[in-house]
Amino acid sequence: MSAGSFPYGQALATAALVVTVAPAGPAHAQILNVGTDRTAWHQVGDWLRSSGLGLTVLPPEKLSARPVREHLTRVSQSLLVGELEFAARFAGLPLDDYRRRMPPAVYEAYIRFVGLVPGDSRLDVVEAADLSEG
Amino acid sequence: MVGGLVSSHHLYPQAARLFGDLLAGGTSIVLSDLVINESLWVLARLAYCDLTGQPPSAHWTKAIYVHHQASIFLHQGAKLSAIRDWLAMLDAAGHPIDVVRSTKGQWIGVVDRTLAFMKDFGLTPADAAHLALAEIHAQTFVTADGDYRKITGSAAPQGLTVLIVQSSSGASPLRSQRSNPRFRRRP
Repeated sequence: MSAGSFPYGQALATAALVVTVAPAGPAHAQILNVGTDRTAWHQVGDWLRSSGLGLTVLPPEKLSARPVREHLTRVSQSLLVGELEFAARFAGLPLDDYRRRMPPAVYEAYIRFVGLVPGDSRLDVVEAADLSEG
Repeated sequence: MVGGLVSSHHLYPQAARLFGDLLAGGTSIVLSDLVINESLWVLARLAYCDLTGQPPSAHWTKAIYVHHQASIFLHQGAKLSAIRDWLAMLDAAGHPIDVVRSTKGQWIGVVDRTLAFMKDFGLTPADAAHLALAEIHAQTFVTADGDYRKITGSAAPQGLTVLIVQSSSGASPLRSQRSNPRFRRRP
């Protein structure tokens, strides 16, 4: 087992990437070398689903034989994200302006959570928020 | 709040930008209980859909929530607590953010205005109370709910700018009674 620090977009051929996001402070990733043991892969999948953050795991046969390394963008002192996540969460936002204008801790709080939940493009937040019986 | 948290829905770019601008401007943010209720309701619904592999339009009622709530919290708890964690981190960072406080001395006025907004604009009780609290506690009322487009004329809340977040042309000030409708720091 080896541990790394926050590479959202890294996966190894026979390993699972488990990301833990803490409310404050850096997130951490652990690479669990579970080989092709189906039971272990199912367990890792359950852990990821329980995070509630839309993380998932691919079975070994769907991963390439060599490590997949995504280009990472540093959004703040403590946050690195892959290209896809950057496009989904931060594209079009004036992050440089926000970094200048917000106190550092406020900026960290903003970028840590904004767009964090992937959701579904078909979601209508107004309709979904309706508290009356459907 | 939930608009700025869920990245894939159509209002996300506007909501994320609006929230960023509010924070960058040092604007005080006041949440009513409706914001908390509705945000958690949306996230519980998303969690249920993720758990069951259904689209977000899946049938969703209080009975379904009650039936699945233990599983939702067990498997998707982090999703529900994201709102809480976001608010806590902003609070710890020193940004002025708060929930509407007791309206002692004003509560009967809140009920009066809630009834008036229900009667005059056809709002639901929860939406009307949300607006009545904003009339007392806020300068700008931010929502994505198009029902508030009905808020016009002399019966509209006094001294309150209603800002409706929309997807086509960004956030639009629906109505302003001030010379400068931009967000301002609360005193």
